[in-house]
Formats: sequence, C-alpha cells, structure tokens
Amino acid sequence: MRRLLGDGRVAEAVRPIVVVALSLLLAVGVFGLSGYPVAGIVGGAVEGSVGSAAAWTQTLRWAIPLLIIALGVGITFQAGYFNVGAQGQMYAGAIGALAVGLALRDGPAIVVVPLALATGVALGALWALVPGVLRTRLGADEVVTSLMMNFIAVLLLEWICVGPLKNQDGSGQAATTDMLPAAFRISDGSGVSPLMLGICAVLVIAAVALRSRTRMGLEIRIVGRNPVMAEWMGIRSSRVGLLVFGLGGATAGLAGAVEVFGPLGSLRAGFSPQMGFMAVIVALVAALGPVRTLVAALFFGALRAATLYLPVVNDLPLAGLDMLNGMVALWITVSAVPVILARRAARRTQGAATVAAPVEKPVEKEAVGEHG
Amino acid sequence: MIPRRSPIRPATRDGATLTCAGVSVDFGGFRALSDVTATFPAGQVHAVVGQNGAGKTTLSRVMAGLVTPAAGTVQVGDRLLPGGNVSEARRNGVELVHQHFALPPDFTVAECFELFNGEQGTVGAFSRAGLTRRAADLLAGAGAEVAPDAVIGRLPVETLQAVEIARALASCPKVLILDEPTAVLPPPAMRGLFDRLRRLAADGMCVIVVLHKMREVFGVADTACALRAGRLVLEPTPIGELDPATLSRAVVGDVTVEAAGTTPEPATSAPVELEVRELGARSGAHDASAADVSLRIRQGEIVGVAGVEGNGQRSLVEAIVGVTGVRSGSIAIGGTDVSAAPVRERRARGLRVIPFERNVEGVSLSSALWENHAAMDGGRGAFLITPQALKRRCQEALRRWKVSYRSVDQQTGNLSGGNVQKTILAREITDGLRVLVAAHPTRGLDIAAASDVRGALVRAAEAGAAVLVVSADLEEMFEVCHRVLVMLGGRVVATFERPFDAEPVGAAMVGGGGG
Repeated sequence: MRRLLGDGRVAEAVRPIVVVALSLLLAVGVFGLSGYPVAGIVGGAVEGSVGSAAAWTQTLRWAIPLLIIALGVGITFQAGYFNVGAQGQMYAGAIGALAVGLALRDGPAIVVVPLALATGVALGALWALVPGVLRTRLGADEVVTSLMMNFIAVLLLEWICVGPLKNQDGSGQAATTDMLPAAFRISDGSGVSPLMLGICAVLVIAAVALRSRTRMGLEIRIVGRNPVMAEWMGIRSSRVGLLVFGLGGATAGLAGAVEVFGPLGSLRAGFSPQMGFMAVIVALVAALGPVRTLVAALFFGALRAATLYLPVVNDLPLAGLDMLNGMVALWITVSAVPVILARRAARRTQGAATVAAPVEKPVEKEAVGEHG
Repeated sequence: MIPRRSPIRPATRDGATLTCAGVSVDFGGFRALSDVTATFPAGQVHAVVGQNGAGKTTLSRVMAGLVTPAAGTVQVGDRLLPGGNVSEARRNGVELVHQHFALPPDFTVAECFELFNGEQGTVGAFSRAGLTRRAADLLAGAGAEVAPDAVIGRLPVETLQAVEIARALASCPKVLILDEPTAVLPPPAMRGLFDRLRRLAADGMCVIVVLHKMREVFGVADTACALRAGRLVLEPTPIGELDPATLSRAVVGDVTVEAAGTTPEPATSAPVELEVRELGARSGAHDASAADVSLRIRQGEIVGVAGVEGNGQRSLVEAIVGVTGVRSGSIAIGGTDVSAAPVRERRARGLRVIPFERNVEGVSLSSALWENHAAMDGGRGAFLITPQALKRRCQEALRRWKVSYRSVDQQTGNLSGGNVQKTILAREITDGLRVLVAAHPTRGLDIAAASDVRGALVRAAEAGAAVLVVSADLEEMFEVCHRVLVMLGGRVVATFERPFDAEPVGAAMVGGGGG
C-alpha cells in the first residue's frame, strides 16, 4: 500500500480517498455476490444521500454532529493522545444540556439555550478530563480509560431515561426523557438549521485558526510529534495534554447538546450509538486537518443518510450497511493507526521518564534516535 | 534434551581477505556508494575514514550483508557472498559490531549470546548454567571483564561494546567489522579497544574499523582508506605511507576547515551568568545523581565538563535546563535563582540548550523545519502567530548558519546529522542568549560540521555568553574551554585550567588518584 502510494504530500491526500473507495467497492462487491442488485444499491445510495433536497438534509443532519466531534477528536490526536471516548463525552454533554433545559423549562430561550449548550460543553470536557488527568498525572493508558468512560456514560444515560428525567406521560415502552419545550429547539426534527450550520462554520474556522494561527496549535503539534523535545523547549506536554483532552471533550459535549436541542428534543437510552466512533474515523480519514474533516464529515454523513435510505428502496438488510461502515473503519484504522501508535510509543517513553515510574532511557533512544 | 555445545575458546583465529569489487548502493534516488573496489587482507587492522554521509556505515553494512548493493560483489577469501544476506555473510565469517548497540536492555549478557547464537540445537532449549558457562568462556576469550549474568541495560557503554565484540567473536568470524566503535568511548577505554583489535589482527583476523579521528587511525590501523561522497578516494594504503595531513585532505577534499582557535580569556571582573551551588539532582536510572556540584561561569567563559558517560553529566544538564527537578542546592541564571522555575522561564532568562540527543531532545524529526525553529519563543509567549513571519525568520536563521535544506516546510528528519545540529544552533544561539549549555555538541558530526559547531560556541562566548560544554571528546574541550571540570560518580572530582594535559584529566575521569 505504502509502496503503491509513495509517501509524499499528494499521497497523503489521496490515501484516504483510495481507502474509502476500496471499502465501497468491496462492500458493493459483497452485496453483488450475495445476490442483491448492485446497480440498484448504488443508485439508491446516491439518491438517498445527495439525490434530492430531502436527501441533502439527511446528509447534513448526520454530518453536523460528526463534524463537531471529529474536529475535537482531531485536535486530541494531533497532540498524540488517542482519546476514543467521544461517545461518552457526547452523552455527558447531551445529558447536561437536557437537564438544564428541562430544569429551566419556563425560562426564556435566549438565556436557557446558551446556558444549556455551555453546560453540555463543560460536562463533555469534564468527562474527557477524567482520562486526561489519569493519563498525564498517573500515566494510565487513555485508550482504556476513555473507552471505559463510554460505558459509564451509556449507563448514566440509561439511568437518566428511566430515573430522574423519565418521560412521565410516555407509554413506558422505551426509556425516554421528557421533551424539551419547542421554543428551546434549535432545529426541527430534520436536524438542520441555519443556526446549527453557523455553529459548524464557526467551529471549522476556529479549528483552522487554532491549527495555523496560534502558538497553542504549534505546541500541540510539537507535543504530538516529540513530547521529549517539547519539554526541553519549555512546552509542558502534560498541560498541552490536559488542554486537548478538554477541547476534545468540549466539542463532543457540544455535539451532544446540539443533538438534544436540535433533531432529538429528548433523550433515549443508547441514542446514536455509533456517533462517537464514526467521528474518530472521520478525524482519521481527514488526517486531522479541519477543512478535510469537513469534507470527510459530509461524506460519512452522506453514507449514513444512504444507509438509512437503502432499506426503504431495496430490501437490503440494515446489517449489510453496518458492514459497509465497518469496512471503511477497518481500512482507515489499518492505515492510520500505526502513525498514532508510534506517537503514543514516543509519549510513553517520555511519560516513563517524567512520571515516577521506572525509567527506561535506552529504550527511548532506540525508539526515536535511530537516524544514523 | 539439552543440546551439547562444544566449548568455544578460539585459541587461534583464522582470517580471510575481504574484497569489495565495484560496489554501488542506491537509496531511492540517492547514490550512497558508487563503484567501491577495495581489498582488505587478513591479519591487519584496516581503518575506513570519511565524513558523515560519506558512505562508511553503508559500506560496512554491505560487507555484513545488511544492505543489498545495486551493483558489485563482496568476497570473503575465495567465497562470493550473495548480496544482502546477513545469515550467509555470518556463515562465511563476517561479523558486524554496530554503531548503536542493538542488544536488548532487559536481557543478561549470557541470554544475549544465546539470542545471536547461530548453531541452534534441535529443540532450541538451553540451561541457564550452560549459557552462563559458555558466555563466561566467550567473554574471557574476547578479554571482556563482565559477569555473564549482568543485565545489558545496566552496563556502562564501554562494557556494552566489549560485550558486543565478544558476541561477534562467538562465531569465530574471519572478518570483524566495527562501525565507529570509538564514538561512544571515553579515552581510557579507547586504548583497551585498540589493544583488543590489534590482538585480533595479530591472530590473523581481518579487522575493518570505521573511524572518525586521525589520531585514532594512526593509533590502531595498519592501513587506511577514505570515502568521500560515496566514492573511495583513497585505496587501503599502509599507514606508514600516510601522514595525517594527506589523510585529512582525502577525507575533506578541498574544503578548508575553519579552525576555532583559542578563545580569549574572559575578564576576571565579568559577572557570573550561571551559578550552580551544591546541586543535587537525578535524571534517571542510567545516570549517576549529581551530588554537591558547584560551578560558576562568567560572561565570555567556556567551561567544560569531562567524564565517562553516566557520571552525572546528564543529571547536571537536565537540572540546569529544568527538565529534572533540583533536589538540593540552587541554580541561578544572571543572578536570579531559577531552581524551581519551569523550563520556559529559564529560557526567557536567556538559557539556551544544545541537548544530548539532537534527534530526541533537540528537534522533532517529523516536524517541519520552521516548526522546530518556532518551538522556542524565547519567553515572548504571544498567543497568535503568523506562520509566514516565522518561516521567514527560520529561513534567515538557517541561511546564516549555512544549513543545506530545500524548504522550511520540509521534514527535519530529511537533513543530515550535521545539518540538524546546525538548525538547533540556529534556533538556540540568538540575541537573548546569556547561558548556553551544550551537551555533546559535535557527537557524530563530520570534521567540517564539528569545527563549525565549535566555532559557534567560541563566538557565543566572545559575544558575552556563559557556555557550559559537556563532551566526551577531550581534544575538543581542550581546544575551546577555559576550564575543564571532571565528573565522577556524580561529583566534580577535579578542575583543570589552561594549558591542559590529557593524562591527568583522563586519570581523573576514571578515578585514577594523583591527577
């Protein structure tokens, strides 16, 4: 693969496209082999994602949360931290925002909605800071801890939905919460509104500015590439680490809040169970660039829209479409994870040197210093 | 179950002549070696010299079967080696001792020998006692004084090298190749290595050794050959027919090497810029704690810290820089106590650093040149940056330091070692400089680059900086320093003033009393 694509700048841009195209081809191939009409599936997918205004709305509806989360995830990855807890951070944000919205349901929207979104942001950041602090202070592997925090968030959401915020007048069939007052909603059920698109635009611009116009962005990149050198330059890797965990959690929390106040209006146990993980894939496909993240989020939003549309026009089972998503995820993971892992390895040796753990200096030299 | 092994105690060694014929190597589009033809007869020590990037390491790797040549052949005795086949090369008696030791740090010496043991038993099982016995034999045969059950990661570097050589000798090679074995050695250990190599050659082995310094070449070799930009510019020539000047010219070509010259003494009234008082600090498990270290460096003064690696130099430097905490005592920069200050604040006060490992602590190899350059903001701490301005600043600095590069957007890892070091100098030696800490500033650099770096240190001092140099290269320190301290076991055990004499300094480094 590497040989095929070389390793220049062009290759870096082309690689995700090749990866995605290969996955799509493979998936369609499997559908074909299983006896489904290939032409119908491809046509249906296009129709369901970009074929009409309604299809575009669906695409945007899914692209918005993916984009918001992926921007934050991308920043975390840039600093070399593999935070995969976006799902839980999103739930935390959604729960916090909904709680504020319901508690102040008689308040004026202009006050309550910003307050609720801010609460979502703060809770998402807090949720992410747990693995962040464990990582930077104690050296606990953030992949494990952030993943664990997801389970806690899932259970917390479940409890919220059957406990404190339980829908009083519902049929009781599904665990859901009360609805937010209509005045608080920032979009209708379609999940797309000018305000939400505006939020996305602001976030993309902020991410671009952070990346290329601030010292913080530069320091995040340096810490991600060589945390040891960063320390020698006076950049505190652990502080940068906490910052990116916080930022990543904040955007995931915001996405959760936007989901509740936008398309959902209320929470249901285990809503959008794939969102956080899809966003990780979006960030990886985009190779962590904000503008590319926008493109990737749109693509995966479209994929999601097509996924929901296809069973309607063909009798394709939903599982077949999950397979398609999984295929893309697999390819991307295979191609992007080695890079992230190398950065983590560099960080680990550095962590071992600064944390009170036994020091392994020679390992560090071999890991990074082999450039004779 | 346990395979029997013949005790290996090579009483007499045999050697074989190694011949390279028309060897060329391409890395991508880069021609690392072109048409190298040379014969290295058995029973002699052959030195291969050349600048960084001249192809010395590549040549030794081709001979050991680690690199497949694009053209040409390598022959041992009358046997032609298949290119790029390590096991075949080893089977034919070619062993390579690497520049960077490749032994696993958690293993014991005996286990390492087993790991590289070519003659596998049927099961591959072994007994600890058997291993230890065999290792002891090998170590004794190679003249290495180390216990077979010593753990690799805890050994000092010169012992590690002795272990590597013993490991290489385990298979009774006919040709032993050493890639820059002296780069890591303190001077006293160097003599031991050279004696060992001479003995091996006297036993009939063909010893090929990659060297950097003229003095070493004339100290150990029977013949010397020189590589320049991938070409053999001097065929293996008996050392008697050579003199240092001829050899230097062959290595460097027509480039004139800038001599750093002797630095003028600083005024005795010059204010003290760096003051370390009774410092106690510990960097990690692989260096002695700095204990009770005191030193004062005035403006314009260059002070050297000599010592065998691992005697507290790293602890001292890391404590001054601020990446390791101060346990006791104090550090002051320009009269202000910075013992508890973070790295950033110390840098803001004018501290600049050339770290030990340029590729690890000095630069981020995968970052762009301008990013590395901008990593230091000199304490200005502005939140917003303009990449264009930073790139321009980087460009100017790199041009001033004569770094060869294509674009400031290129990855730093694409540069050669000397150029990487110059990018660090370009970043660190700036207007605000008051205290410069340089750790092994010329390690692994070629003659021209090393001389540039030394010149930079001297100029920094002339411009009023206090300079602390930690180096394993005594010649270099004698050339640039006003004073040389010797560290042993974390303490400063001796101080020497100009004019320097290598004998007492070397003796102090290894704890030889009297000094």
